[in-house]
Amino acid sequence: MKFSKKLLSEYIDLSNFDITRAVNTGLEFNYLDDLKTHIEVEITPNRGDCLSIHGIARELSGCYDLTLLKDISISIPSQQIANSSILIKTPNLDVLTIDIELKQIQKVKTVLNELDKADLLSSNNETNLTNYLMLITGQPCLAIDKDKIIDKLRFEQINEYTICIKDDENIISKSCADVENYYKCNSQTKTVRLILASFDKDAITKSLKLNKINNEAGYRFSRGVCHSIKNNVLKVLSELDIKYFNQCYNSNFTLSKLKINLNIKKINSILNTNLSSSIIIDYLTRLGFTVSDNEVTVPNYRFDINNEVDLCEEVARVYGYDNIIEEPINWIDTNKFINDFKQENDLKRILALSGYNEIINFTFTSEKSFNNFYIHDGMKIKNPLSNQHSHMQVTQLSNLYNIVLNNYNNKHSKQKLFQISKCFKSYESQTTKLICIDFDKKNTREWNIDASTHDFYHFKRILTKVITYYYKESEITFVKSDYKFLSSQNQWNIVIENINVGFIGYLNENLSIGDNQFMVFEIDLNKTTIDNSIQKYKAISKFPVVERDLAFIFEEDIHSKEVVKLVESLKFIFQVKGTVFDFYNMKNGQTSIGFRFYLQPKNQTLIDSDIHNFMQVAIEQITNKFKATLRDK
Amino acid sequence: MSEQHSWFNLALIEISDCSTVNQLEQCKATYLGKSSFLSKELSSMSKLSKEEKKIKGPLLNNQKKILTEKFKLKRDSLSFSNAKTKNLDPTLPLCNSAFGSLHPISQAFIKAISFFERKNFIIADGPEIETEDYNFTKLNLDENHPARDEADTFYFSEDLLLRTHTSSVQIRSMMKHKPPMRIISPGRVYRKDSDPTHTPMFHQLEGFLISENANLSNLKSTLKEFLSYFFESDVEMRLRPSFFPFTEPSIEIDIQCMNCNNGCSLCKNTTWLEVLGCGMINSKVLENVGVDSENYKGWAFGIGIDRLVMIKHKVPDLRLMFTGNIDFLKQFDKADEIF
Repeated sequence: MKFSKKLLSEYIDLSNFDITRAVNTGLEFNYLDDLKTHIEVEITPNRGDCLSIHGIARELSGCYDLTLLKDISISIPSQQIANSSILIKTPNLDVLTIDIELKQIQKVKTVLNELDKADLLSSNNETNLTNYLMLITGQPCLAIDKDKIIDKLRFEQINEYTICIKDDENIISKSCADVENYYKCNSQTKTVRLILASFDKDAITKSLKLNKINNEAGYRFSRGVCHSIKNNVLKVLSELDIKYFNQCYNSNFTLSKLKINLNIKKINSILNTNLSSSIIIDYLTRLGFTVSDNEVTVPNYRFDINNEVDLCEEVARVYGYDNIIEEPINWIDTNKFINDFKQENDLKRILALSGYNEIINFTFTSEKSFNNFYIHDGMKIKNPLSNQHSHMQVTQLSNLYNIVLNNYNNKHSKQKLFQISKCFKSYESQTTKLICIDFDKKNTREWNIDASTHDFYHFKRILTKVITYYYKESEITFVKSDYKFLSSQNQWNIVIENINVGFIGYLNENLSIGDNQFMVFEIDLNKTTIDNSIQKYKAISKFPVVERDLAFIFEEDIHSKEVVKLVESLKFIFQVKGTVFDFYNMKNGQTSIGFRFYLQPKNQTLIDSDIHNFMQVAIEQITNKFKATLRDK
Repeated sequence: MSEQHSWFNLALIEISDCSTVNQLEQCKATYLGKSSFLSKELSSMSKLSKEEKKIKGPLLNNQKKILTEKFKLKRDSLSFSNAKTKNLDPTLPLCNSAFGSLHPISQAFIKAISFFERKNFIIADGPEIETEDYNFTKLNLDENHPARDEADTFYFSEDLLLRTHTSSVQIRSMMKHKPPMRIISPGRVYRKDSDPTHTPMFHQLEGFLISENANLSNLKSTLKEFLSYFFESDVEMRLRPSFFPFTEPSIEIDIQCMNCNNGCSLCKNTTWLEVLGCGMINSKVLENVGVDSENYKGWAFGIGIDRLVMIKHKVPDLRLMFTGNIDFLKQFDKADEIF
């Protein structure tokens, strides 16, 4: 709300008061010019009573004990006359109408400067008048051409949620906060009728919302307009020397004074203060409350006060939140537990220390992006910000792809990125996932590049670190997968203890960026079954280990792990552990793999026949099962 | 010393003295070349008697073998040391930094949470797609509250929406646990807004405490301590009365602008920066989740983590945080939170 300091100073003595101090009580004043003549004040939405010069003056006077310069006390209209020219068919309504000759309204020109400062200046005088009355008193007023009204003004609830103003034939205002064009004043208008109404706050708010009314009058109605400020409007008209006549009033409003028990102990307990009852009563009285026998009567313009804690808030505002002492909280015993957040942070650290950069991107995505990535099961937002944000991501890949592309266009040809974020399939299926991307040139052999930091096996090492930390499991099974957004040849599901937790692979060639390789894995962080059991010692054999190497040529693509597992599963009197020591793809499409097996007996030293037997069985099993030939042959 | 021994010893000394490969090659020609003393001696062997051959032959061959080996070792040594001093340039840049980086928002969360964990707060999480009941109704936002409007909140259906604050986790936590409790919930939240200081997705840290004697004094102390810890300096703060349906009294906290003394664009010339909202939990909220509001009181706060990051690192445009721009991210690769 904007206005001139001069206007406010007509109502309250500000000569020794810096209004920016009032921020402590909830009115945040800021000067809009260097000369400090033009002010803007921010008012919290629950304080409809402060949306006027009258209201602000009253509030400052109460909080800071400042002198009011004009009588702005509110009195209820003396006569509650059921006037026959106004019909009320909606509960809790209070209406005053007055008529003014159009030429009288010309007098509003004396305050145009004030309206300009308040951003309420209009091109027509009747709007300027209603805006000025609203600025000073907070009362929204409708101005209509009196001669167009057919018979009576009717206030009706035309359906469950809409309150409107009609005459005997037509609707004058659908929402009570604006006027239908036909009834607006024009050059032919002789007499202007001002309608001053106050409604049940909730009912009018609902009506305004449904009718999508978003004007100043509507805003004030929805914040609460006290039924008794209509007299103030009449006072302001008199001050402007505007003569009004044909005053009509009708109301079915029932005045009920809200009374709240004053709980001094509770107030001091919440604020951690030791304020006496006399101080608290003084504070409340200054703010317009009446206190009698530990019972507080709330002024009828304070729609925000409903209970004991509201009174506490009033006391705190006048006492000053800044005056509340700071007292540290006590320590309590809480059950510490491993939480997802700690684990996610540890994962982030592992990746950052491995050279990956964390990004945080929107979880929104677009239908187009879904189509590009062959995704069809994302959740659609009913009211998206734009088409670019129409769906929720199912995988983070589609969004990160665009980030990689943007960075690539900014000459970043090498990117190591990761993100932990939610992916959404439904309300029931909101999954936290980690995505990791390694994007680099193919077959890089430059002076400053360690080739080993960008290949699939290095990338697998990163995955293994993550899986080992998060799932407490280094045993990963790779199962050929069929994601359309990944390369048809090189993509696998990541399986841990028979649960599919994600995928790893190269991006589909159709989505490639430049000549670069795009490797990605995404794993689900909700499928964790963390093994917190204490690790137990396993006996170490005292007998020497025997090492034997076997190299095979394989005709078809195989997983070396399967060969190792096969041999490890063979039954001998000793334990077998295997690994791969040599691997290369031959030009003819065959693969050569060298395996190293460690034979460790538990109870005795191995003899030549044991080893010979092992070699024979291992060779036979591998050659038969995997169509392999021993390389030496 | 015989002549044979003296040339051999001299050869060993000269090999040792060579400091370049060229010198070594010359030395080798002198002692093992065709016109060397050794070659001449070997070619004159045929003129010797059988007895003399038996004595001299092994001696010369042994000397030749030793010298050949010495030349080889010396050559290797010179090649290696020359390579060391000539070819390596330790100032050449690395293709990738030694470390990656954590997003500044993650760093802020880690720092903030480490503070509250020390104050015995535990962390709770909740869904980002939330029901209207948990996001609004149980938090005392009436059915006409503007925040419920489709202009402000993303909806999937009449009942399902993207949570607008992490306060929904407060509701879930209070329904799950019994007081007293101290809980924080970090996470993403969504509001329908986009400009340099607002993005449709951003991050909040919600915290609340429920006990028999919770009061504003504790809340004020906790937040003052937190802000000083987060910004790594003593911050001056002020408390402004505000209005949130879920707290009563409601307060907004501003800190003195860190960018200026007299007003700047960051603080909109007020010298104060709004950093968080807080207050005593509204008794209606406590009652909505079955907490006895007669015996228990609580306070809560909601911190816009992105805003704290903007203030701390002087980031001018919030949207920069979500672009994934590597040039932006790499500026935050030396933070304590990584190590």
